[in-house]
Amino acid sequence: MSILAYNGGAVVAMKGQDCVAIATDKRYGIQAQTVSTNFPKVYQMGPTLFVGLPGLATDTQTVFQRLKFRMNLYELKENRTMKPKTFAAMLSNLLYEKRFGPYFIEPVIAGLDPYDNQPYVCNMDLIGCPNEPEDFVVSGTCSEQLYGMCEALWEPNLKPDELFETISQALVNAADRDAISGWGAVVYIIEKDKITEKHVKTRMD
Amino acid sequence: MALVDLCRLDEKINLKPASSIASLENDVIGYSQNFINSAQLASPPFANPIETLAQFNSKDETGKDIKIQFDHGTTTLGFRYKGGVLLAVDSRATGGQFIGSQTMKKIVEINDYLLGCTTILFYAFGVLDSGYNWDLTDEEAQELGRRAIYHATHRDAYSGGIIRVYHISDKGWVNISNEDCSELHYKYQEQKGLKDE
Repeated sequence: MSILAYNGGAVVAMKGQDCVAIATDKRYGIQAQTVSTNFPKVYQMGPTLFVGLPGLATDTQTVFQRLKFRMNLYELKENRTMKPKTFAAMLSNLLYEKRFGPYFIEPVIAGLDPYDNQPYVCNMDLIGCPNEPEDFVVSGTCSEQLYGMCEALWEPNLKPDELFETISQALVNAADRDAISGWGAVVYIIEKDKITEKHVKTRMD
Repeated sequence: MALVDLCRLDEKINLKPASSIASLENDVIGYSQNFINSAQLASPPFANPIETLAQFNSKDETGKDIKIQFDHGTTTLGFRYKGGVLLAVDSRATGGQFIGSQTMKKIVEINDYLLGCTTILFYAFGVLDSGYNWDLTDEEAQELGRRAIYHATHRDAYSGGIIRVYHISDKGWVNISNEDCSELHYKYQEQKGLKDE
């Protein structure tokens, strides 16, 4: 078994029309044993910037804290908010620094550019190789199922409410085919000056 | 040959060699051996089953590891009480962490008095031990079995799907209920007065 699948969990992010969405499951487990059902893997890093860190839970927390630290330093020094693309470069750098002893997480970034409001999604592997597609990104123990759901459901220029429906269906149905993801989900819809957080009911087995 | 076929001679006269008839009879006996002797078990179709079977779980001819992932972490339970025997099972089938089916029938209905299943893993014991006594009523016993399996499916990643409850008494077995874990979860949450986030 891969150490990336020790705790289980899934994150997905999608672009819409002038909006992006990011969704996470809530399970925290130790292999087959579900320990908590209140462990979202997505963190808000800025007014319109979110990061999801599925993988080994201990590294989820460490990487979040180190990211927050570096981001605070940047914003104090520069006196401006960080762009999602800059954030991705910073996270990529943080991960590649540990090239030969990596953090076991595969991050997903979703946000709107604070200057021109362009939607942005990105994911990377555990050593920080970035991927910035025009549609959606997936990560976690059910990434194959998520790819299938996203390929089938996603279409261009979805409105915020349509995007919510699409991303929720993708995550919930992918997690229902994975033994170690699920047990509740959280979806964030990010618009220019509105963040909507919704908790989605799922199967609890 | 054509003439033999045309005259349908083989329907009247057996043209096959005597040995092939013997081998057919041997086959019939071979495939239904314990009709004659019910205590007889078929021997494995190869020598030294312990060593031979172990090979399937190690390396293939190119030296690559063969990974057979057995179905682990399914949840079944059974207990005796004054009203007979109660049996409850989940219905999830997994291959590794992939959920292959949520609707599998893990109880085999052998005849009116016999049910068969394979029992593995017991998250259900905690609930079972705390609620069990010999003098349970039928309804209490059914609910205890159902709840025990539900709690196991909630805790264990490899159990889930539908909870099937069977009751066996001197009149034979009865399938009491087949309920979806998900519906049970939200029903129990409501009973506890909890609203799920």
